[in-house]
This record gives sequence, C-alpha cells and structure tokens, in this order.
Amino acid sequence: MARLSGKTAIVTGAAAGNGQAIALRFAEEGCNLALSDVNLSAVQETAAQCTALGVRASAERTDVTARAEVEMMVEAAWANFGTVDILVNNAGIFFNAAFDEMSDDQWRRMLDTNLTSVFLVSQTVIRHWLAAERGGAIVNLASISSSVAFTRSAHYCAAKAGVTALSRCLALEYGPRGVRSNCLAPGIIETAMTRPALGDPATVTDWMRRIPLKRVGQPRDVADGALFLASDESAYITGDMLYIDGGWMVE
Amino acid sequence: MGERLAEKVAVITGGSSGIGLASARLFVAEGARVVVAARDAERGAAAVAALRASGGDARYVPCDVTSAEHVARLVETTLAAYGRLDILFNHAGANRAARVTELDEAEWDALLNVNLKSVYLGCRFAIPAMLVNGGGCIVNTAGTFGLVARPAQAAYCAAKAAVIHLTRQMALDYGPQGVRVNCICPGYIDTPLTAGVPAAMRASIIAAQPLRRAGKPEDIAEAALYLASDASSFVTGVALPVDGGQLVSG
Repeated sequence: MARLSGKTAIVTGAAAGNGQAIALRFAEEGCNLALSDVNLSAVQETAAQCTALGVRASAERTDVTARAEVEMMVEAAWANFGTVDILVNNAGIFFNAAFDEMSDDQWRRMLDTNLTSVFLVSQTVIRHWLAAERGGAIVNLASISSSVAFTRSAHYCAAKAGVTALSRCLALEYGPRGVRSNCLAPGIIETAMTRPALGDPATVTDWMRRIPLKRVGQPRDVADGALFLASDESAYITGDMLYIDGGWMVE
Repeated sequence: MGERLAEKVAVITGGSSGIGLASARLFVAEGARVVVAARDAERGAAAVAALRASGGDARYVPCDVTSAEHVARLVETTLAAYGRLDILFNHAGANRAARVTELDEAEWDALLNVNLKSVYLGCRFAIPAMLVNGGGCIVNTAGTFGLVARPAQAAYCAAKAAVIHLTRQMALDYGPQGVRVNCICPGYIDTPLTAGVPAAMRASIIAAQPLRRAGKPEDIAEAALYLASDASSFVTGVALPVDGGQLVSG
C-alpha cells in the first residue's frame, strides 16, 4: 500500500532541488501533485516525471509572492484534483549579502519569497480547508538558519526563523480543526543553491567539521522527511521542526 | 508487509507492552527481526507469540535494563541469534509523580536508573556491535517532560532531559562511524503507564493540546520507524516531539 495513496499535494518551488525531490518521492507513494514554480518549463518537466510514476500531476507558473497568482494556483489545484490534502511550502531563494550593504530591495525580496509566500499560500489553502470543514497537513521548509546564524545571511535567517514561528502558530490555531503544520529544517543539502559553496574546499572542510555524519545531505533525505510529516504516519505530530542536518545542531 | 526495515535486526527494550509492543509490531511488519527485551517473562512470551503469529521473526530476552549484566547478555543473545544488531530502541522506562522533597534517595536512584542509566547501558553494549557492521541506529524514548518542566515530576523531568542531551552527545561521538542517535519526545499517550491517570486530568491535558486527542502507541511507533529506517539517514541528534502540538505554546 503506497503511503500517500489517493491524496493530493500542492508543492511550491517544484522545478528543482528539494521541491523536485519531494514531488517525485510523493509520486512514488501514489500522491497526485499540483506543482508550481516561477520556471514553468522546468516544473512541467518535474510533472512529466511524476506522471511517468503513475500519478496525476499538473504544473503552473506561479509567483508565490503575488496573492492573485497564489489564489489562481490553489483554485486550479482544487479544480483539477477535487481536493487538496497536503501543502508543501518549499519555494525559496538564497543569496548572500553583508548586512551593512543590504538594500531594501534585497531584504524585501528575501522576506517576500521565503516568508510572505508561506503566509499567502497557507492562508489560501487553510481557507479552503475551513470552508470544506476538513483538515490537512502543511510541511514548511525552514532551515537550520532558523536557529543558528550564518554570515552575510541576516535576511535569510530572519525569513526562515519567521517560517518556524508561523508554522507553530498555525499548529496552535488550526490544530483543533484538523490542520497539522510542521517544519523541516535542512542543513547543508546538495542542490543548485549550495553548489557554488560546495565548490570551495575551505567551506567544505569547515562544514564537514560541523556535521557529525561527515557528509552533505541529498534532496532525497529532505523528501523522506517531508513524506513522514505529510503522511498520516505523523498524525500526532504538529508544531514540530524536524532537523535533517546530519547532526549540525547538536553542538 | 512493508520493507522499510528489511534485513534489519532490532532490539526494543520495554517491548512487551504499550508503545514498545506497538513498535515491535510495526518493525516486524516492515521486515525487521525483533528482539523484545522486558522483565516480565509471561508478557514477553505473549508479545513474541503474537508477533510470530503475524508472520514475523521475533524473540524474547528477559532483561532488567538497569543491570549491566542483563544488557550485555541481551546484546550477546541478539548477536548469537541473528548475527548482527542494526537498531536499538531504548524505550523501557518508569515514572512516579513526586516533588524532590517527596523522593527518598532510593526512589531517585531507581527512577534515574530505569530512565537514564538504561540508555547508557543499552548504548554501551549495542554500539560496539553496530560498529562491526559499519554503523547502526539508536532511538531513545525521552519525553516532552524532558523539554519543559511539569509539576511533581522531578526525577522523570531530570532523567528525560538527560536522555535528550545524551542523545545529542552520542550523535556527535558516533556519527563519524555511522551510528545515528535520535530521540522521541512523546506527549500524552494512552498506554499501561498512563492507565492510572484520573479521567478529569486526562481530559484537561487533551483539551490543552492543539490536536485535542491523546496519542496512541502507534503514533510513537511510526516516529520510531522513521528514525530507525534509512529514510532518516541524514538525521541525527534530534529530539522529535510526538505530542499533538502540546509544546507549541510552551
């Protein structure tokens, strides 16, 4: 029996990296997928790979910082699949900026894409769930940056800490109506976002010193955590943050 | 039958009832060979009979988890029976509600031994056996009482907080050799341990939780399965609350 058989999930930022891995992992477990990304052709490719695994999958071009686009994407998911059981707020960006040099635009772009997007998509989906008198599972991609500092990353750390706090509040506020909300907190995962840094031997040496398991994670590791938090296997878990970091946080 | 623990050998302490037994059932259903360690021989035998009746491979080993001699024999017996040890679920524990001034020294020692020393002993003997295979996986049962204080739970709170920190510490020491160490923090779960809780108290605990229900042993078993399986191969040193959201508002 597939672990998400008969369910439908919205996954944002599904064109590449963790979002793509989550979509494919969910598809392996029988989950239908409403995928979105700003990169339409790439998210269409992810949808095609999911379809090849035997599930239904759609792809939308969605800017998750724009309410109108988010509402259109969520409406389309309901229209295509009849309902939505799972929301994975994965879309996000990363770029370095020293705090004293950070422009208003850089700050807002980071906060809009990584935090306000979670507000917009979660609110839209929760409104649907409340109207339908049903619950669902939300999985938010936070980060070890929610809890620890990184240089030239104040905007990213603030946004991810915001995601963690928002997720806990949703757990408290909508738990009684059957909505669960949890965070995944990946550490260093090998994706396009980390590839530049992974090319720098000094950075890699420093990271390996900090990771007890002595490797970087793969998107599949994140996807397996998302599967656990999205499935009924975690029916009694809400408001948690699950670190997938090779042990980075223990020290 | 699933395959998420295919070929794995697991030891579950406190495996003859409640959460431990639910975990044994799930582990067996996912292909693991399971050694149930428990004190009560009758319950242990009954648990293993039920696991075998479901088509699983399981054995009972009598064990007092506060005894180094017993725990050493538990690991030896496992290796003799199955040739390897991949997963140790340190679940055995006990509680007596009391404030510090109400606990005599012997009671304090007994509670710390069964809840904390048991974890040390399990790891002390299991980790060397895991290293022979290039690694393994330890899951400890801590509790939300290890993360937040609760009235009249002095020894239990202290022991469970220590289990969480020992989990992190061992994750650091043995991660490089391929041993992952994580713990679960159950909230209020309906088990033989909580059967004596007055109905009004149970109701008020549940009313304060976002999900508005008591946990089931199977809820903890599913978390243990995730942490014990290769799905969590990049996860170590975590304390995972399974508590209906009890901790979100502190």
